[in-house]
Amino acid sequence: MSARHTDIQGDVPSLGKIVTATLIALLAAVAILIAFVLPAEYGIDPLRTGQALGLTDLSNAGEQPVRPAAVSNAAAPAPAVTQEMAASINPVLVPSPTGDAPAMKGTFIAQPNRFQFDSREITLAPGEGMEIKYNMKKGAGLVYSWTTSATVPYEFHGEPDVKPAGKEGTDYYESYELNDNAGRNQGHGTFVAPSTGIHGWFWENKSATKVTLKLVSAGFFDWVSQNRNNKHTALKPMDAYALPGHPAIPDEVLR
Amino acid sequence: MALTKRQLAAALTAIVLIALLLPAEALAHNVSKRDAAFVVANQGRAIGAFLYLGAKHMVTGYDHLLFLVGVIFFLYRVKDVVQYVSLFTIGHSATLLLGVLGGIHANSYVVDAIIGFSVVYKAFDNMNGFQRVCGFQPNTKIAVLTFGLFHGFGLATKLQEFSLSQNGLVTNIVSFNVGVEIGQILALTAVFIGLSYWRTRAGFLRHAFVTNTVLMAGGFLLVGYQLTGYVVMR
Repeated sequence: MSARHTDIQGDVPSLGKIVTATLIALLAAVAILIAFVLPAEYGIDPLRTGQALGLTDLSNAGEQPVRPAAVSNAAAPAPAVTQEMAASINPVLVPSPTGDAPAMKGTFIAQPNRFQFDSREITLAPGEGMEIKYNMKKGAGLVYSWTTSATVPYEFHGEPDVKPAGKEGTDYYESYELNDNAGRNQGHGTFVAPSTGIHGWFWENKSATKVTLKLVSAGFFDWVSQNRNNKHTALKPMDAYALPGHPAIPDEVLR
Repeated sequence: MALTKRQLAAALTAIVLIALLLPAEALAHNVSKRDAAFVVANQGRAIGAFLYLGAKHMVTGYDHLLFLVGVIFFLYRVKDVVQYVSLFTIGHSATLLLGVLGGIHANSYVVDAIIGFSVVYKAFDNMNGFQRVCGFQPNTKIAVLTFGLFHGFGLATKLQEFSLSQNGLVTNIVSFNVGVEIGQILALTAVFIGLSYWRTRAGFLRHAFVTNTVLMAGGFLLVGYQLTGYVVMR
């Protein structure tokens, strides 16, 4: 076997030639890895070559999460108030002409109803991705915290009910924060909806083990949109007044 | 001088071509998102679909293909090709079935790095590196069988990325495996025809060494790509 092997391959190359070739192969691989593959795949760009060639955009674009088809509006309760609201908080200090306290305008967006509450714990199977989004009107606020048992890539995004011209009927969405490379194991924030629609997260467990996700939100939403296993479900939020914990026990003094 | 200028130029050109292909190609390696959605949504037996997914994974899975190119590079007779490829098939079928049915979750980055290393190993073997550097020739058939086992774990991790329904699981895994073999035969036939034609040309032996150097660079690149993923994505 060995003899025929050698026979067909011609002369056995010299030791120096084999070592040189192996080193060239190794160096070439390392160079390509650092200059092209790492920036494109993981957004790691030590030589800034990825930026120069636009490869880091590739890694940021990554894989698009599976989008739900527009959830039927029939699932949503009719909006209580249709008045146009501000989309963001924009504080402006107005000095008082009479020497009284200055007025700070634009510090809050008043809402017609009381806020809702949502708290859930979800186990993501290896490879599983899912979405939780809240149906919010433009200008509605949300305070949220999510924590996972391991780092997961995610995208915070929203789907306006009214799509821009030319995008009607598509699964158009707007990305608020995309982290699909390194990922994170938590996110906390205050969010004001820039449009009327559904706003929330896509998380994906790319690891080989189960990941537990805890999410708590309080805000002005009517219902919760869940997209899991390609099923879109409208879930009922908790009534903040109906929550347990108006305690009969004395208040605990922290300090 | 160990390598001629012409050989160096040819090698560098090929390496640049691979580099241009890789970033886009790398995304194509995993069972793609749309297919993944199907695998998740599938709730029962779907022989045709899993046959197709297996075949597609093999035809577009450049790591398996690079290794097979290395294996059959110096195999001139169809009989030898069938023998070596059968050993590879036995190896990867065993671990694909064992991995998915037995619920063995290997880390896909580690497995894919080993698969990359198998390419480096075979290219080094083709350069007669073992004979010249180590002074002995490890059994090539045992090597193909052993690396086949790792390639199978790689196939298994790709399927395990999705929550597979228990309903019709065995049928679907076997269908995927048969699809892999169909894809492998299709890809190998194309490679073998290409190699056979190339061997009739005068330049074959002259360029064989450079080609295996390029193959080795591809293997090293896969190792680095996967090991980085192991560190970054953990």
